[in-house]
This record gives sequence, structure tokens and C-alpha cells, in this order.
Amino acid sequence: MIPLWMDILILIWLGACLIHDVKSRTVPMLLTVIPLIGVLIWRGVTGDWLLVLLVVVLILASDLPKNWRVGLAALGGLILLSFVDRRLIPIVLAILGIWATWEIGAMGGADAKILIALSLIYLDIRLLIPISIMGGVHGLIAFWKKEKKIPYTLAITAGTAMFLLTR
Amino acid sequence: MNFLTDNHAIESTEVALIIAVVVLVAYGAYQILGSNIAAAVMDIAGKI
Repeated sequence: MIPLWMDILILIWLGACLIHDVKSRTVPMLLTVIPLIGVLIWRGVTGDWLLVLLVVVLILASDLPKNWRVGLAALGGLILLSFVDRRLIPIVLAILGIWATWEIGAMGGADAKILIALSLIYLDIRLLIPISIMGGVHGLIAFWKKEKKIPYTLAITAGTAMFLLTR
Repeated sequence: MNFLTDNHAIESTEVALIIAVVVLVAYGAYQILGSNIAAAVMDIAGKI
């Protein structure tokens, strides 16, 4: 169970990401890479090193030629699935899905890193439900207003807040 | 480190809608067929 002070810290972090996203449509590496590396170290210490290995493989795979990176990610994911604890299978699939969404160019790298970090922090697939719903609602509103792009960190922040309030 | 250095934080409205539908359908399917899916995934991973 994540302590309350850490939940508050996470919401402050997401708020900072949201401000940058709205202003510049980017989130600086300081706010995405540092938290992701911090979470990877923490999960390594708590013994979930297979999840850490998965994310490291995906990071390294992103530098390979296009044909290789998808194959390596899929193979790495499947091999890890055979070793990982059963309760973590949805998280592994979610991380692979988030990376794949970035890989096909449908999601920004900052959003993908934030979502993977959040998945690793809470290890609860239900976190992605309110985030997706908020993204869908925001997408519908933007579609109605004839806007083509939306800052997805708004959905991530609002969805995470909703998850924390309702769990 | 393409993944780490990509700072873009924007999605098209269509992608946000597609993600919402896909996640909800996948989560619903997992709730209904969860144990069977986990067993199938473990079986495939075991054969590799």
C-alpha cells in the first residue's frame, strides 16, 4: 500500500507535468525520466526486478531498427510472462501495450513514460480505467470543439486522482 | 535511448477515444475471462 504522503507527491508531480504539457505540448525529461528511473530502482529493491527488466528491455529495444524492436519487445514480454507472478500479468501486458502505443506513434513519449511509472508504482491495472475514461471524455469534448490534439496528461492526472479517491 | 528522450506529450482526439474503448473492452474481457486468459498466456509462454 502506497502511503498518503506519496499519493500527494505523485499528484503534485502529475500537476507539474500537466502545466508543462498545456504550455508547451512537451514534458521535460526531468519530470519523466527521473521519476521512471526512481520507480525502477524502487521496484528493483522491493524484488519486482522482472518488471524492471521488462522496462529496460523496452527502453533498449526502442533504439533498434524497426523490424527488430517489435520482435524483441514481444519475445521479451512473452519470456517474462512465463516467470512473472500471476498477479502481475495484467501489469506486464499494460506496460507492453503502453510501449506499443508509443511505438506506433499514437502516444507521446512523455505520456508513455508517465503511464509506465504510474503502473509500476501502484501495480494495479484498475488505475488505467479512469485514466482511459477521462481521456475518452476529453477526446469527445475536443472532437466536438473541432480540436485535433489534446494534452493527455490532463486525463492521466484526473484519472489518477479519481483512482486514488475511489480505491 | 529514443524512448527516454521523446518528450512529446500529446495525443490526437481519435487516439484518446480509441484508447478508452480498447482499455474498457480489454478490462471487461479480462474480468469475464481473466483466469482462462492468464492460463493461456502462461501456457504459450511456457512453450517458448
